[in-house]
Amino acid sequence: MLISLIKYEFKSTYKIFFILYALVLAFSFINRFTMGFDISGINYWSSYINIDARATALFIFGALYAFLLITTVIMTIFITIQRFYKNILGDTGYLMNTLPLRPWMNIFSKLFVSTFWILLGMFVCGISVVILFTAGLSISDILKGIFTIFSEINIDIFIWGIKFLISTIIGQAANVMIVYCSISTGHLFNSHKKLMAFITFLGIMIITNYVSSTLIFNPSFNFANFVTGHVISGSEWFCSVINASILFNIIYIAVTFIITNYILENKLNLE
Amino acid sequence: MSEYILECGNLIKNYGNKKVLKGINLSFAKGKIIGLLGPNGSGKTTFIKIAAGLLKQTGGEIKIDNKKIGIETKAIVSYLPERTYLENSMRVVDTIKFFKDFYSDFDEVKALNMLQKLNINISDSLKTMSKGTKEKVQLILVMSRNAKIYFLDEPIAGVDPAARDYIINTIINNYNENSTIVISTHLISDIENILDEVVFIKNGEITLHKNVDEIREENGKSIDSLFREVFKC
Repeated sequence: MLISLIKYEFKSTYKIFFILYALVLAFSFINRFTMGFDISGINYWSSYINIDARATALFIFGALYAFLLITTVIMTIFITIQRFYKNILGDTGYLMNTLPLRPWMNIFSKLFVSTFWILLGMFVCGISVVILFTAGLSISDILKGIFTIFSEINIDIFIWGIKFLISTIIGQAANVMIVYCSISTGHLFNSHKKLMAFITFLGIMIITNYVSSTLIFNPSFNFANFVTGHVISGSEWFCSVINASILFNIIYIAVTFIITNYILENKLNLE
Repeated sequence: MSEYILECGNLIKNYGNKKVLKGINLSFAKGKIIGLLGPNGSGKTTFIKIAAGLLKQTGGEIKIDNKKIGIETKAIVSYLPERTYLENSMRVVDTIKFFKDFYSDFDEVKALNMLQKLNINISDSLKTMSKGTKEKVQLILVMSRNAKIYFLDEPIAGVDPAARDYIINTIINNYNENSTIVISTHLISDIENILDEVVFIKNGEITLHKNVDEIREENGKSIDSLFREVFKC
């Protein structure tokens, strides 16, 4: 059942994301090409009568590329909200909530798919930036560069790379769950449901930001260091941030999941 | 085992300060077609939504097949809402697969036959269909389940009179003797002939729950005439 839910969630969302990702990648290739143009001799703003075609192309394609990146981010957020709001608490919720399934399955399937698209979006945007800024470099140059950077950092790259990846995945999943929890909490009110959802979201954001600034990103959070006066290095700080953010994001996911599940199980009111 | 498929006692539902259901007591026997009749805003849809598991009652109790509303009752309840609840991006064939995936009592062959009879192309996307056609697709999906109880909320309100006949025939033809069908509507004359029992609901209260033949005998008039008399504005 859960697998089927995930399958249908992918089916309902993949088209728009594939189109966006294809456009982002296509435009990064175009920009890689136009960025290679030599326009150093052209004063673009004063010689508009003789606007150089290459400079125009550079400007237009650059603007389109930026626009596409912004669109991808906005659409990802929009679809994350829309899929939960409409498909669980809107008209199609009449179908989803009358399926013989526990509410947690609906929540989990949406969480899984939304987090997947966010991560894939980040990956595609990352690849696109690499395509853009590595014009003229060979793959071996790039790998050598990456290796040089990592060899200067005094940590176990493999372990911390994986930890960083896990913290990114969990962090994005926590963001999605915070959105779901806010929408569900807004649903508890008889009127102004959207406004109440937004206020809940702001409230949760204040709490999580407070936790981030005081506990996660604060180097003196480690009490032993604080007592001994040990000044931690950049890489030690990085490791502590990763560990703490994994821990706190797991707590955020657990709390928001329990609240959302409780509301859908006991307080559902599709009026 | 209880002879009733649905039983509710003192069922109350409030929306804020507004009392929508004011302590309803009802029992529906197995194998009956029941008309849930009342004017707009009388509480018909609210009652059905509670039974389907989309709303939580404020007070009282409701059981289907002797179970509280939950995952087990959802597996035996087939519910047709008064709105389009299928995703517009789906094709008809996708909706059939969807029902097959989630309802073990779904009869795919039955659904395909009905769609064919109505000349609905299963590869058509729902977004290209009229509201009436979508409603027909939904009804076919809902009636293709071998459920113990069907809740059909205004199944004929949005379609033309010719299609109404088809829908009513669909309901009768798919009527399993052990199943109960609850039809909510205010278009009584169209469905009156298929009903075994009627429930009149007014301002969140049950004003009448009787066998159709008894009503005709006692009052000497059709359900439609009685309804017009009882709910006269």
